[in-house]
Amino acid sequence: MMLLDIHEPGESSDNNDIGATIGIDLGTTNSLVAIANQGVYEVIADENGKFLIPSIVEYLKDGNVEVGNKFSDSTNAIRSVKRLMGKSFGDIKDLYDNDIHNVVDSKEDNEDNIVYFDVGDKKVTAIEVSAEILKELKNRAEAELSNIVDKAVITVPAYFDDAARQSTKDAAKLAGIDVLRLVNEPTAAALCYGLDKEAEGIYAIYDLGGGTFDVSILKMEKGVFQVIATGGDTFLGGDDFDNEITKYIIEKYLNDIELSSEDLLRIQKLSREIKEILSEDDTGEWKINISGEEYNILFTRSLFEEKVASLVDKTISTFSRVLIDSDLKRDEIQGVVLVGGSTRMPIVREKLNKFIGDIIIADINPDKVVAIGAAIQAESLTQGNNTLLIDVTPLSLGLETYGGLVEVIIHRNTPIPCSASQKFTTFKDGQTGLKIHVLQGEREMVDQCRSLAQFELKNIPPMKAGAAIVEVTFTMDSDGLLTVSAREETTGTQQEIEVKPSYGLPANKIEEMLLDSMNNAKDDIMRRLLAEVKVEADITVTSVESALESDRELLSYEEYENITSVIDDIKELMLGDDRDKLDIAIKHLDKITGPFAEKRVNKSLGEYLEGESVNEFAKKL
Amino acid sequence: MLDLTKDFFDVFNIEKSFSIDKNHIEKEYFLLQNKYHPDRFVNASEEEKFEAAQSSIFINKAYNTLKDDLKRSEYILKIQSIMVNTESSDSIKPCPILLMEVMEDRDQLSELKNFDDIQDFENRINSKKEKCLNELDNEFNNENYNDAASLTIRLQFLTKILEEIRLKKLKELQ
Repeated sequence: MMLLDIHEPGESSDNNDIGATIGIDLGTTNSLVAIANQGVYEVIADENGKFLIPSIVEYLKDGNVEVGNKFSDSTNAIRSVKRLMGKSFGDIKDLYDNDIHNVVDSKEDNEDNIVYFDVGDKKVTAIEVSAEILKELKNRAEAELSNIVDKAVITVPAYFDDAARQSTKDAAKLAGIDVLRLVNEPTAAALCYGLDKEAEGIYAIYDLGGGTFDVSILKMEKGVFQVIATGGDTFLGGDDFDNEITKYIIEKYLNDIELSSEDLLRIQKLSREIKEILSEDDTGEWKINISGEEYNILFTRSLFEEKVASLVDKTISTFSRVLIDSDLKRDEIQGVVLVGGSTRMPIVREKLNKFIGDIIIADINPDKVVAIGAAIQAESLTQGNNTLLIDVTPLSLGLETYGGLVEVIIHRNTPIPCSASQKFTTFKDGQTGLKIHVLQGEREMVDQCRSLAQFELKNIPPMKAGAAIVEVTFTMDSDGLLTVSAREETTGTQQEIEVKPSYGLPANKIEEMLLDSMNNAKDDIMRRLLAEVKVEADITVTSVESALESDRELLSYEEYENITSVIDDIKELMLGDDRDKLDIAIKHLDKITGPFAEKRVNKSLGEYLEGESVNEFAKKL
Repeated sequence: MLDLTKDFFDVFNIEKSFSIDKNHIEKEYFLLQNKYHPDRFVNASEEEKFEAAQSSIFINKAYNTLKDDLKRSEYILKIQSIMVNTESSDSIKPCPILLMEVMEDRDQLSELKNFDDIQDFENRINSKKEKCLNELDNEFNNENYNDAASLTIRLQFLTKILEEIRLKKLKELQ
């Protein structure tokens, strides 16, 4: 099979007959594009035979954009943009200390909490930067095929959340690419490996890339690939290994020296070089010129390994969590396929070997497998082929229930497409609406999970508490798109929504937002955010009012007055457009009604225990 | 399109019994998905796509139910119209001795601190589960559905505590 062959430019001939489809590995450090053509899969190389395009986007002074110049020293060059996909400005401030250059951080520019890069005379978002890389890959494929390419499978880290996935789709849209599907990187790697080696059985894919780490376990049999479990860390990759070296160099050699952002960039580049050399050699010496003075940097592999051991250990503990998740023992794994350039580091292989034994598979090119897997899946989704991928939901999906708790409806690692229902009931007499708040994540509390969508099932006929039965159904299709519907059983009142992430950028506004004037876009987002807070306010007030109606006796007169006066404030604020004030008022109401909610729970528990039967008691265990 | 009125055993062409050949189910599952999965219908009509999605969801549900011991057991009882551990008055309820045992197990688990001890405890619960599964198989074979229902309740509790052990292990690793 020709799976892993590099295609030489000019060699292609008659591949215009069937519209070839492309697969894109959009990496943190490097990106690649592969094509599928009648069962032959190849990574497209440039005129110099290089197939890796550095994921670096430089905004030139003349207004042009250059992608892939890894030698660029310019501070207008954006690197590792993938790490910021789907992240708000608030998110990244928590995740990084200070090492992202040219992110705009003045308060004035960031009311809408979007990450902007300052690239000279304009500001760009992560989505726009990513779109530039995709355009470059698309152009490369078009030049190779002498044909227009407008559809692709793009790979993403398995552990990318919905916001990051949506941002990737938006970037593709901007680049003029219709996304056939986003496929998880380790899964794509498995497709390529499984097809190439005709492997059957249970395999783990250990994917340590430039910025992200994923591990997935798959079962492969006769062209069917079933994902069993997946896990990872979207903030762990080769960049972090570089950072350890950078930190050391600064501490050891440049402690008292003021470093410009250009200096820092150069040290970072040198750090990467040191890491790569030390994957081959035991020791090395490097020179770097800072403020006119030359420094001699000495580094040995053992020192490097000491600095990064804890990073590798983190990947191993993620691996063992995924094993526990999959209900598999280590000896049931037939092989561990290494993917991603960072798996070239000897320390990674040593520690893996120690953890899982001598079943490490490193005889495929770790850079290319993901792109080829993407091309295989692109072919499967257009012309069809002999592979079928059965994917799973990477994160659990659930609903908010009383007390800010999350009830999981679809557990993570459930094969898709899938559908699951849960019945809920009203908690007060005459209640006519039910709030449906859809969440994603593994934590128990609402505020620890990602909010995906909120809506209210209205027009429930007034009945006694507990009499109305609302069945909520989650359906996820094979694209990973979630639809949530709620239906009241006695009357058939029904409502349904397609869940699009309720944060980040609204999908239909994306082009307008990015291409039109920034101001309009900003207004738009502000309006939407305000509308969301108003919905939240409405829901909160309604539920507190109904609780007051049924359990007022649990409150002292002062407490009652205090709560109702805050409700009045909120109602007034809902008529205006001050989002922050309204937000603060809602939080305040939440806080002061906390003890009340607790009393109500205790009360209902008390009632419950009084009439207790063995069976009821058992349910609490 | 797959007949969605079939019971899950029929989907996989196997006998309605508690003991199953998991390898067989897996093979059938792969064959069925290969035939009905929506990705096999990307160029088909909207109607065919919809049917494929319905079929594929049904196959996933059947597979998830049958390969899981507890869900399979509950499913067989459901076919026999036997309710276990629900609020309904004609449902089979857990016996007090079982509840005492469950409480003791949970107390023990909550006191365990290190990973190896948790692992030992898990092995103990797993051997209880093994025993329970054997007994279940017996009762189902003899069509003693009431006894099977009591054992299913036991299996529910064992499954629940195993899940808690798993969570505790995950926490230890974090």
